[in-house]
Amino acid sequence: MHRVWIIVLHELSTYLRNPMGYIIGAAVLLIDGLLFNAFALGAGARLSTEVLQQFFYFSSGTTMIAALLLSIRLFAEERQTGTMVLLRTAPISDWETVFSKFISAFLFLGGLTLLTIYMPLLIFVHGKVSIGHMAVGYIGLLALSSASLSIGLFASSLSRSQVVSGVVGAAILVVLLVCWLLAAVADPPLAGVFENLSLHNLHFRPFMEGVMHTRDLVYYASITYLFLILSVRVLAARRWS
Amino acid sequence: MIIASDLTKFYGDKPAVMGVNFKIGKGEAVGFLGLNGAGKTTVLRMMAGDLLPSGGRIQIDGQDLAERPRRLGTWVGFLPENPPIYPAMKVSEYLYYLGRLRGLGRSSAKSAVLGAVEKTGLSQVVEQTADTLSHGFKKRLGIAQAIVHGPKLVILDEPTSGLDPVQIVEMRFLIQRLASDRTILLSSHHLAEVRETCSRFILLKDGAVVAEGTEDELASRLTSAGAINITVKGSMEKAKEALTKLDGIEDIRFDQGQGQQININVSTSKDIRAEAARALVGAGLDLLGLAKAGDDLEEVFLKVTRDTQGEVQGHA
Repeated sequence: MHRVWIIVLHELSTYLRNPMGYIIGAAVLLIDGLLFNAFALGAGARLSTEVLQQFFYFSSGTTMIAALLLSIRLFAEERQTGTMVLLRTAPISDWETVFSKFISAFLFLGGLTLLTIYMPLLIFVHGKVSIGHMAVGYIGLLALSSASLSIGLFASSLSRSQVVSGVVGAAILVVLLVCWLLAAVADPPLAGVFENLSLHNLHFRPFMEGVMHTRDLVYYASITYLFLILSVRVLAARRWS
Repeated sequence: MIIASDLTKFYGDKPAVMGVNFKIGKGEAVGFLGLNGAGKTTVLRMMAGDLLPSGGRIQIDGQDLAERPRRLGTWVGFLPENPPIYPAMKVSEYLYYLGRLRGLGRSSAKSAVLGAVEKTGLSQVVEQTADTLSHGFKKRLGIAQAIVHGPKLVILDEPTSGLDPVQIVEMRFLIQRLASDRTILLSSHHLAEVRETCSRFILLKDGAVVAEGTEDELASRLTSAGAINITVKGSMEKAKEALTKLDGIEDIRFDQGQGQQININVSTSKDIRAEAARALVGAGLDLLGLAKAGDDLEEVFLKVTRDTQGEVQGHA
């Protein structure tokens, strides 16, 4: 297991060594701040809880985009630069390789997400919100990050081009996002399937409202696990070709 | 001891390696030769664990790699044709990371980095990032990463490709130093380099081993035993007359060289160099040169890559 941490530390240092890590971080904080100021704070008098809900709503969008941007390089870049051979010939399993890449991106994005905490704290200047609501909202953001990163990671394992990986990852994310629209036009039982597959509408809104359901956590954990396993399968298949 | 048994690899329906067998003893330096597409890189990648074989098995010291694939990373060091480097990492950081990844502890990794840097002559660039290195230094860094964890077996795929003549000589000495205390497998298009660094050769053609052995073994087995090249000055007719009288002549070819110089290639069933020299001088010709032909690696390589006359594997 210590080899997983060796790769995690290497990947984290790559984010910090690479301007892209800083650019993505700065962009997320800037956009979150602008959206918070424009729509959550600056849209007239509101209940503090509504402001917090709006914050988590906008943050979920930037988090998904940041997750995609951070994860599409994870394998595509290794293949592009020819360094994938170092991981394939190292004494680690494909699962450890995928898991360590995922954990590194999750820690980076998690840290970035937690840096936005000054925004909900600003609500305390003129209002009052529950710490529990804030904590649940952040747990929701981290769960959404986890699922989005695993999707981006899987897309990254498919191609040596980060552009192609980005397009594939975005397509999967969008399909999962719009499942709730399909649910509205489909007949049962398909409507129920689409509704439950929806990445955001059914499963993230409760977190925004400060409600945490086990089913939502299980959903995000399942999506994460599914795409991590698919990534492992892709790596294993590449050893044959 | 490394044993490859019936090693086979298909890319889709296309066979890249077909039933390759070889044994490599501890401490041997073995060169893989063959034209582009012969299967050298595929065999080396399978040996390094970068690629899984479609069939067959590889054993190192009696342990099947398919059963213990994770141990392979500590046993083997691999340099692909293009050195795998992280451009933004410093040389020392890169080697330390790979040492740790391949199972070394913190202090062992630090001392291993120093050792690898010294062996590969990277001391002057150890604090530079990899993207600022010349191609020659990148190749050295590729070798350093392949040996940093102290593997039993080092696999080098085209280690001299893209290097200038001075770098090739430096690389040759580096590989010779490495070969002193570990098993080395390498492939190269530079026959001179392989000859200088390897004691044994495995020749591949169309994904199969067509010959293996030392240079002398290959030369004696694959080239005509009595073939000689002669250069004389004088009449071609006199030369033909003098040589055709000798016993053991199978074939004679004449080429008119510059001036009155004549190049003669004689195929014989036995060594007739002394008799040929006496006959030509006796016929009044000036003997300018006489040497046994086809006794070097280049001749062997050309012969087996042009035509494969029967299966010769396993006779070494």
